[in-house]
Amino acid sequence: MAKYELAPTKTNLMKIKRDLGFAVEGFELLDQKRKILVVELMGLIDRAVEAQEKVESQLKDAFGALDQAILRMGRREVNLIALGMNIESDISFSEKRVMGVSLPKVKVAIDDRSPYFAAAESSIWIDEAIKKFREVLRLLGTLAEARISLMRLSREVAKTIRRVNALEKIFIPDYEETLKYIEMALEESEREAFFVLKLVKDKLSRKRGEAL
Amino acid sequence: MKFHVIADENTVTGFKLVGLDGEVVENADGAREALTKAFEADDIGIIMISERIASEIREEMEDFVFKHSFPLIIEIPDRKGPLEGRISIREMVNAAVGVKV
Repeated sequence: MAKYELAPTKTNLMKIKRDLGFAVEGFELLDQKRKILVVELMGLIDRAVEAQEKVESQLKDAFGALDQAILRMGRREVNLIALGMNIESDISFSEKRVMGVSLPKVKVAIDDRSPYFAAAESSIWIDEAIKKFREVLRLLGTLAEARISLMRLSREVAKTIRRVNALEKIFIPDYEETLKYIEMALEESEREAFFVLKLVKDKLSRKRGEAL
Repeated sequence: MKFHVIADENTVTGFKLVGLDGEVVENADGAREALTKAFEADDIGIIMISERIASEIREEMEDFVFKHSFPLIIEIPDRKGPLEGRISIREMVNAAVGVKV
């Protein structure tokens, strides 16, 4: 059963052949794109998981130190120190493109101007907390980069897989089916024309025989 | 570009110690408001939101993430640690791609 309603003519045969060629080419290209994206994705997963684990373990330590600092000095004092902090961080972004997907590259610069407070009135835990949170900050750039890239890439992979499947499972078989139908119909009409010619020739030669 | 924190008081205090701005958020409405505000600010590059808060406004989070490519949003655990039953990175990718990778 032909999927496309086309008159079985030579013109349509050529058109379908061209379309089929185009679909096959598109399929190959998209399949390549999918493979490249998946390779990229695999590499990123490990990086993202590693970054997440690092951030989380640092963050856990950081919260531990902060809890201690708050316990020893009181929340008010910690907040005061926070107000007086002189650390500046700056994030700069650039972009990497993989197969048309834009992936962020994140760079975190931390400008640290210590000391931040009078040592006498603060606990060692606050130092520890600052150190840990700064470490978290440094790692966060990598985590953000990996996670967001991963999200965008996996969305693109899903889209590409859908397209590859549509071409492979629907369009290409449909074109092939139509092509076969047109070819068969053309052959049939050729045979028919041949037969008619033969018939005419027979009749003619019989007539000629009678005439003789 | 700067970091911005949307989380509970402890987390915000912690990041304030390293010079970040943040907003203490206690409920879903507050979180929505803080997120919208952070999105409108043009000097914020990365928004950190605590998992606990993000999970309360999951729909809006997805909405923000899909509609805007910038700023970047990441979820971080609060001091009680990672949320139970949260989706791991691998699971997220598997769900999005539809095959196991």
